[in-house]
Amino acid sequence: MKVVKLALNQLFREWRSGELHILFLSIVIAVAAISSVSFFTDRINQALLLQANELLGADVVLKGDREFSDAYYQAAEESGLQTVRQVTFPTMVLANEQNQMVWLNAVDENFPLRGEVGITSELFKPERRAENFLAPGKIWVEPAILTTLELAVGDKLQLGMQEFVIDAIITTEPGRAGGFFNIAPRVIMNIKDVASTKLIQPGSRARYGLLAAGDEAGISAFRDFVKEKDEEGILVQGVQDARPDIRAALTRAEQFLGLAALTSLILSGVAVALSARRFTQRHLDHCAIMRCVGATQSLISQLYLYQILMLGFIASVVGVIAGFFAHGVLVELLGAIAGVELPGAGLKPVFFGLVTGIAILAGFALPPVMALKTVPALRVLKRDLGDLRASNVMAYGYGIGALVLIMIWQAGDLKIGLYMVAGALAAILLLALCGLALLSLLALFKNKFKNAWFYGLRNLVRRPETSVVQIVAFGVGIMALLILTLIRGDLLSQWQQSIPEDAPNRFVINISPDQVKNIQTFFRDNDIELPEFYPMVRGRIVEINDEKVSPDAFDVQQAKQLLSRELNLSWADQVAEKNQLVDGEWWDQSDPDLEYISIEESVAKHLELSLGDVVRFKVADQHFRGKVASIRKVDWGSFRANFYVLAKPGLLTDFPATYMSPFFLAESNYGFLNKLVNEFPNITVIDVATVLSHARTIIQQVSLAIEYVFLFTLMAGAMVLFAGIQSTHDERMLENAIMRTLGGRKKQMLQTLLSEFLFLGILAGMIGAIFATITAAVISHYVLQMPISFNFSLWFYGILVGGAGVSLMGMLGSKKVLSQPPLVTLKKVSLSN
Amino acid sequence: MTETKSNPLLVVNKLNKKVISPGGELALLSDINFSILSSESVAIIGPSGAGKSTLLGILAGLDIPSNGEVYLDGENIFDLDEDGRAKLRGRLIGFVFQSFQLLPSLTALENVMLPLELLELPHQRETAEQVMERVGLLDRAGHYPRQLSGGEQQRVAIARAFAVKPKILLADEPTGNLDKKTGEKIVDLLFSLNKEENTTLVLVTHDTQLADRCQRQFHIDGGRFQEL
Repeated sequence: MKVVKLALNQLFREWRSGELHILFLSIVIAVAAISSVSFFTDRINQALLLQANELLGADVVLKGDREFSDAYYQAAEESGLQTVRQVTFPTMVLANEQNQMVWLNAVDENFPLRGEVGITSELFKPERRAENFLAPGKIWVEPAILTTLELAVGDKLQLGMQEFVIDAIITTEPGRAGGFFNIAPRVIMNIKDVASTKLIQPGSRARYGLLAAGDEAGISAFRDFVKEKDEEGILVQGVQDARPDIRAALTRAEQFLGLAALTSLILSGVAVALSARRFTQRHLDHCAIMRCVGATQSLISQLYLYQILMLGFIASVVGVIAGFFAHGVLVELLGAIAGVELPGAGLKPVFFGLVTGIAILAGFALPPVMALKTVPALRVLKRDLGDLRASNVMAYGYGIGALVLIMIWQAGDLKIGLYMVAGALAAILLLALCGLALLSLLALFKNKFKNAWFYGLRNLVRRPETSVVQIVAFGVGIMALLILTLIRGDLLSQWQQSIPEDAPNRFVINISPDQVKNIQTFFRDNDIELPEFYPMVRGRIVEINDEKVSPDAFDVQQAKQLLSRELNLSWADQVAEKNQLVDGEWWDQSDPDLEYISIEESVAKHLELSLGDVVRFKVADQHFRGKVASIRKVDWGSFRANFYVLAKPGLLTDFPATYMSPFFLAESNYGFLNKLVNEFPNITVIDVATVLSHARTIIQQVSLAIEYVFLFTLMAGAMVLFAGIQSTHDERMLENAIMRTLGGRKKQMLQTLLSEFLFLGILAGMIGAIFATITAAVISHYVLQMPISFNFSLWFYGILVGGAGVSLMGMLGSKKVLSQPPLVTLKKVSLSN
Repeated sequence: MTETKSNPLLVVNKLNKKVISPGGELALLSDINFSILSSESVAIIGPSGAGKSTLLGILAGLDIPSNGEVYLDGENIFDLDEDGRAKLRGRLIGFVFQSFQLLPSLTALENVMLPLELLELPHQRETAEQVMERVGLLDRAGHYPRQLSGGEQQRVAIARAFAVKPKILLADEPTGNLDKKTGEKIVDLLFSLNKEENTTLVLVTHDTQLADRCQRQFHIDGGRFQEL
């Protein structure tokens, strides 16, 4: 206890002297970064866990492409469960000569089984619980429908062949996906009204749901029944695996945000290591004196160990609190992923933050500091003894080890954790090499100019290790911010601009075969260029080479998705525009054998399909087989009608089909859409611009969130800068004092200092810009498939931000060097020595 | 052990210290024998590089001889391990250094309190304040070393050395970094405290005037040691 008290006293004294501020702040920043991400993901996970029922609207949900037979409802009843019949699909609503795409959720009077529907009678008024279910002929709608179509509660709107009265505005809907996943506002309808709308026809995109709720035994019995029945194409979701779309989005978010936080951790670790080295150097005499006056090695070890642990704990607590407040911004930006109000965070992020802080401090600071116990007491008489120069391996090795363990814990997966750390370290190493190269280039000029503005450059070159560390520390943060800004702005805009002006901007779907001619006539009558109409059959892959396939058989997410839903199949007698055969041959129409299909190359890759493989599909209650005759590369960015699977003409003729057509509509002809939907109420018109806008909004929000976490990286970079300044503080002070004693003016000292930080910042900005440019080029070419172009404003902003930011912080950190009179400096430094 | 003035506090037997240098083996100290009684004041003088500080380091247990023995208060200090010697130092020895060796991040009072804290002695603050008052610096208790003059810093160092009431005070060139006038005041303080506390004083110096104030003088040169 007494040792602990002594250690606390010493800690307080060290803090008072200013020695520990950078160590402390570095830990606070690291813990705040990781905690903010941790609090956010924990709350989403809690929502998935605790509110899974509300996310589902039930205890278990079955989803399929056909109506569930009575056997299912009977089995549910026998298990003591309540059920809800559901059908959902996109469609159009019409009112006031305007149209709007919506997502229809038609349910029966038992809805919802879990959670509550919240409604209101007027926009922005408080919500109330929906006491009674919808009467037939009435609907509930989301606010966006009212604002777009200029409607109010009590007004009428058209859905298919039926007119409805708006009964209320939806504010809360159990089972609704979050805003991230919906491109269309929702409508709730009584399922008894679906038939009268005539919206559902063979081959339509309707999804059927059977929602059930009850006790655990009943749920379990019902799930057993469904498993035994083993019907193809049925997706079962319970509370443990509710909302795979949210879980997938959360996993992605966790990875990106975790990577941003990890960068802060690494840089904070560097700042801690730099500070710890200085702390160690400054305590050599301290330890020698303590040994002189009676302290044992064991006591010294304990004193420093307790100081480090106490400092780490206090800093981590502050960091966790800061992270808690900081995570509010993440909730604001990305909270809509869950689609429900997020519950409070659990204790796991608190614990994780505390352990992270202590681990970082212990990993990066403890090894050099604990070496102080070996300082010989004789150093009081012989100052050359006991000079500890910790090797970089020791200084950083343990720290990186601590980081690896933290990231594996955070990722929950050994491989992912290792990849993340390896990736981050590789990136930092690359930046460091680049920084060293630039510095070496600049070194060629260091003696060319005898101006105080270039003395700073000499200082940088003289201390290459510290300089490169500082350049990289800022370069990383600047690079990340430039990339994210680019993605949000330039890249997306360039991509959108690269889309041909006359590319289709509308897709009309759900056209029945007997409507095609009439719609073609309608286009002609309205002087709109006649588009192509493509047949579409909804089918699911059930067998490959006579072996049953299921999503569980594949690890890759894309493969699981391809097998867990119906695909849009079509047929064509020629290779479509913007499609290119990469393997195999197109079918010969004269060949009587019809059982051929052509697969898109990503489908072939994910499902491991090759030429000659036989794939069996289920369409409604029927099946067909097709042999893979060719594999196609599709230009998805062309906005044409493209299909994953094309069949040889004749193979799918007997299956129920609808038609779809992409077409271009000038804004001046917007009125045509209203007439089209009015004339053919069962069709759905998808506005590509809306979809793109929604995608753009998501990308903007996600990139803003990642950028926000990267702000911590910039703060950690600042800590590295301050730690670097601190580590050379005495040297600078002495140089400055001597130069001023020898006649140097304060202005010259200022110029030297300012130029050093300016060059440092410019180099950091250049590094950031170089790597941001490379990353943008990779994204342009490989992801967006655009020609590479160079954005020189990147360089301008990178250098400006780097130069200005580092200069400002560097001058702030060096205030004392300039303000202190030379004699005081000389006296102070000789005291330390 | 009951102490009397006739019992030696410090006994040195056949002390040798050799080091390996580029030119071969170098004898820093050769076959040194002497003893010092309680409350005696002793000066060890010699030119620069003669081995004075090496001898002082060995007497304090900070360094290990090549061979020989040092008994402090009846205990052979080299029978102890490093931690044992550290504890012994804390209990018995006070130090005053040429470069003061104050901890810059501690106030004057906290510097004086340091050995009391390490030894977990009671009434640490009160004891430190008393000693600070004795050296005339109680009003500067809250100042940092950088705020004190050289003479004031050495007075704080002396206060720290005497705070634990050591049996022996080892001073290595205590006036080496001070001007003549300040140095004299420091020496006066050292000797008066020595008399008050009955502390044995071992002073390493090249200042013959300072050495003359001690009861005994030893001369060391080229590793050889003799009493004057």
